[in-house]
Amino acid sequence: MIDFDEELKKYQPIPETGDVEEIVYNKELTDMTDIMKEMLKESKNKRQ
Amino acid sequence: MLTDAPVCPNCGEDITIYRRIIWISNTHYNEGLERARVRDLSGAIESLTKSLKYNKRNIDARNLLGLVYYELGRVGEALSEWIISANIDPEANAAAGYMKELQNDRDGFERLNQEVKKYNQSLKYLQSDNDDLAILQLRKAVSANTKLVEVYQLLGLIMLKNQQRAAAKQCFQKAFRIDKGNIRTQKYIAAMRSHDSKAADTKQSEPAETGDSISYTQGNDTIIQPTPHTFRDSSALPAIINILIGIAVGAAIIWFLVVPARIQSIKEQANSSTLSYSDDLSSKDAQIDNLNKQLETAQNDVQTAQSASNTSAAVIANYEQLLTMNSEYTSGSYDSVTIAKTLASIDRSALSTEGQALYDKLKDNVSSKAVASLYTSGKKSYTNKNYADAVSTLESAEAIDDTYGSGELLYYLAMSYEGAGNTDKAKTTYQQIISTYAGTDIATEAQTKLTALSGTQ
Repeated sequence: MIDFDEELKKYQPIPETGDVEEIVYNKELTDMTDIMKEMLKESKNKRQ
Repeated sequence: MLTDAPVCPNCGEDITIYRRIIWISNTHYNEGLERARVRDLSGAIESLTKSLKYNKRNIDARNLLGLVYYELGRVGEALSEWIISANIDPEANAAAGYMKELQNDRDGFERLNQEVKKYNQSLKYLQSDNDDLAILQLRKAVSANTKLVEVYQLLGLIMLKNQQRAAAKQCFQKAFRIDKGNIRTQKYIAAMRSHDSKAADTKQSEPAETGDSISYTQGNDTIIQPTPHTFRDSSALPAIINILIGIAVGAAIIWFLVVPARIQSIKEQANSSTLSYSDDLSSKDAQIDNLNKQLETAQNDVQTAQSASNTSAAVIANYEQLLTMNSEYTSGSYDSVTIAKTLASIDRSALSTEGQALYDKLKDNVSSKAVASLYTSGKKSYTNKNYADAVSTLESAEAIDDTYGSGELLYYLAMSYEGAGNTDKAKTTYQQIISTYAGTDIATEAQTKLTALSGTQ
């Protein structure tokens, strides 16, 4: 059976429109292409 | 611009891995798009987020992610995705159009934000055990037809806690219609189904009595047990008796439970009405008292004003008479008796200092002459035994100066009273002479007359 108190703990507040600036600022935007570029850069440096 | 070649045309680097990454990102985007189309919005978010982890510049994936958030009522997160998208690629970006639409629909935008606030507030209420207030906030959001899945899930959970299973089920179904891929909703629905199924199994396993046997399920076995035979009377009489007993019991319940409660209710209503009327009555009494007091005050004011008016009128009349008499006196052709009589009727104390001086001057000039004239006339009437005229004339003279003739005036007045048959006034006047002029001849004569008058009675 569903445990109300346990389930309640899983709910989190939803960001409001006033929080948009904070969301954008704190967004982790590193992607695989960034990682790949970094790796290429490092391997280039090692070769040199 | 990349070509089909495995190396970059600008720097000559191997771009095979890069191409692979872009391909994976696009694959996840396509998956997200498919999921969004079948309203698996949670699944779409998962796929699109993965797509952006591979390639953050995948504008379509980011814009679609914003749209999915918007569809779920999460306007803050939708906006943040579109802002990032517009920053990555400012030209020909659909995100700018979405944001412009939001800006144009301020009411809709504010409504969505209010729904989020209501959800967040209800969460706070629940954490502080204020379930009722939380329900209130959530119901407001539901009545605004919110698309926030969390609102329906949370309301459903509270309903479930309060044993309102049908309402809870409706909430979860609504949440499912908005987002078919939400794991939490699916879990709740599955839990409810499981519970319902168990309840149904328990019901089925209860012994079912059919005819001559009782059957029940125990595990996979169905046990059929014969029931002991009972005597059944096929005649209608017991049934009728049972019905009559039932009616009697029902009537007794109504009489002993329902009727007293109803009577009590009516009494309470009557008491309440009486109290209400009593309050009204007290209020009205107070108003009447207050109005009576106001009326009394007003009447007093009127009387005071009337009295003041009368006093003023009397004072004016006094002055008018005084001035008339003065005018007559100064003209030379005046009747001293008339002036003296008029002065006697004027209230000297009501006059001003100047008025009193004029009054005294006139009185000094005319009173002795007038009294002498009246005294002579009155004495003559007495001698002629015209006692009524004598009384009238001598009373006028007394009113001007009752000391005239050192008691002579009063003596003739007393005798005139006696002659007119007014014994009481005659006695009073004789007594006045005796006390005022004690030891004089006139007092002795008055005493003689008084003795004689008393002796005759």
